[in-house]
Amino acid sequence: MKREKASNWSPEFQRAIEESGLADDINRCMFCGKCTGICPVAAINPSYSPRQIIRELLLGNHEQVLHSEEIWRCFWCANCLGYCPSDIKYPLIMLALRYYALEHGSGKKYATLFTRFVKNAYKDAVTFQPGKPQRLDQIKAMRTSIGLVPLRIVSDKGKEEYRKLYEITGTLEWLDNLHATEEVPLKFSFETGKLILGDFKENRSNLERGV
Amino acid sequence: MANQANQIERLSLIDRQRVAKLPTPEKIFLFLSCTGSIEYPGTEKAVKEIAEKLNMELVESEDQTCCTGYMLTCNALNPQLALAATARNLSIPESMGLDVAVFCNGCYGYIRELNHLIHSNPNFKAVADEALKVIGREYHGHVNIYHVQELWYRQLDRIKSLVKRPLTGLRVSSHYGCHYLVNKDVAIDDFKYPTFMEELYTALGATPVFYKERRACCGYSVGRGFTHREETVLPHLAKKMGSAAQEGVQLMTTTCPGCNVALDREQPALREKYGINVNIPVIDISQLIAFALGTPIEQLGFQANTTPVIPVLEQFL
Repeated sequence: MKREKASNWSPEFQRAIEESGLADDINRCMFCGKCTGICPVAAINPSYSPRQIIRELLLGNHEQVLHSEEIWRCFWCANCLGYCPSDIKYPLIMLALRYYALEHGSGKKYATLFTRFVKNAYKDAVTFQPGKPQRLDQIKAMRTSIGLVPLRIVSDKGKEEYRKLYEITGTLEWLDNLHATEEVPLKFSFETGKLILGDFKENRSNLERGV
Repeated sequence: MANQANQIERLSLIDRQRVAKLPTPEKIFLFLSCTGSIEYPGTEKAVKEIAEKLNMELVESEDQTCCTGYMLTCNALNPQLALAATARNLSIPESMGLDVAVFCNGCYGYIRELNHLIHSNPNFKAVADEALKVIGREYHGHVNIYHVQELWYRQLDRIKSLVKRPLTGLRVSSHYGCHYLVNKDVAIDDFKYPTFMEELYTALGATPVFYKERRACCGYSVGRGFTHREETVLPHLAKKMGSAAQEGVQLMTTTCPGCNVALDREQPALREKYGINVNIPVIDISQLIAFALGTPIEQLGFQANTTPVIPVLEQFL
């Protein structure tokens, strides 16, 4: 992490994370450090500490956390939550933080790796369907040999509904923005806190107008 | 042997009341998992085999899509989509009046968490409702979500009585996965020291083995296997699997096909990179139960595994 400066501190930060609606009261944290003690990532990466991230969050140290790699290390194993005496939902804070970072143009390289799954799912409504025909045939043969249907198929109706959800939530544009240059910040749904309904309605009316 | 079973029971922190409250359904909706049907299809098959033996009818729907949670936690999509997709998927069993059985910890954790968010936060609920309205569906939240492993544990005695191939002497160890146990308000066992899988092994006649990093996670859950594989995930797995190998574990079972991918597919890399002698087949707990209950070994999809499973199990055929 970069050296902290008082000028980088902002109360907006904690507010934004709390308004995501994912993490409830982060102020309950008493910095006991059990999270860091039990964290498998902290055991391997000395620079990573859930306790420190929560501290920066509460102090509003924007720069320190947002543009660091640390927030991208978490395994989401939830050991911290399992051991936390204050019941801080650290994995959900991490989820919100990562989205918040993307929104501010940071860490896109960690998210763009996975957009192929999102695109696949748009096509098949199943995430890990392999693209290579050879592998697909292998799976079909294996499934058939153990008495299952050759592939897990989602009905046309299911696919159509699922695609519509992509469209009304603006996920396709969202993906384009994610792949755009670093300077274009992503417009996130939960910008105003809790998944913005405003944008959502706009998208939907676009859809209804056939735009 | 009996001694060890007693010991496990003494250490057990299983919530007996919760177990007693679990249903023994005649009919339940089977929530299909992408990984459990594509990477390790034997998982799906084994779940169906056990359900048949327990007279549990599994209802599937081709309308059910991916749970969408993996992509959400990899930050690769608009979070609204995951919320809407969860509500949509759960509206299917709800319209049938059925509860849901899930066989992947990932799906379980994600749909449970998103379901909880929908019901605890009116803003999330509004997003989900509005999205569903567009596609002509409704979701009211009258669905209970269970992991198949807890449904199996509920019928432990019945499973014990149905064992056709006692796995005497097989040294089995567990990997619980994180996203079931972390639901502390509903999980049947303790987050820090779970033992219900060990009880299942004992019921199948096998010998449970405890290893140091038993509760360590698989490292793959939110895509870190792609972003931080070399620097974090592999050393972590080397620690975990190395400690299992030290205890002479012959077979490891998971409750999540996603964990299987990490623990099984990475073993060659662990041998090559760290020179540790890991050669532990990793299968789903349902596959082990189905095998012990007499499902033909070639029907359990073990050919999908990187570390061969059959050499360990063929002695019981």
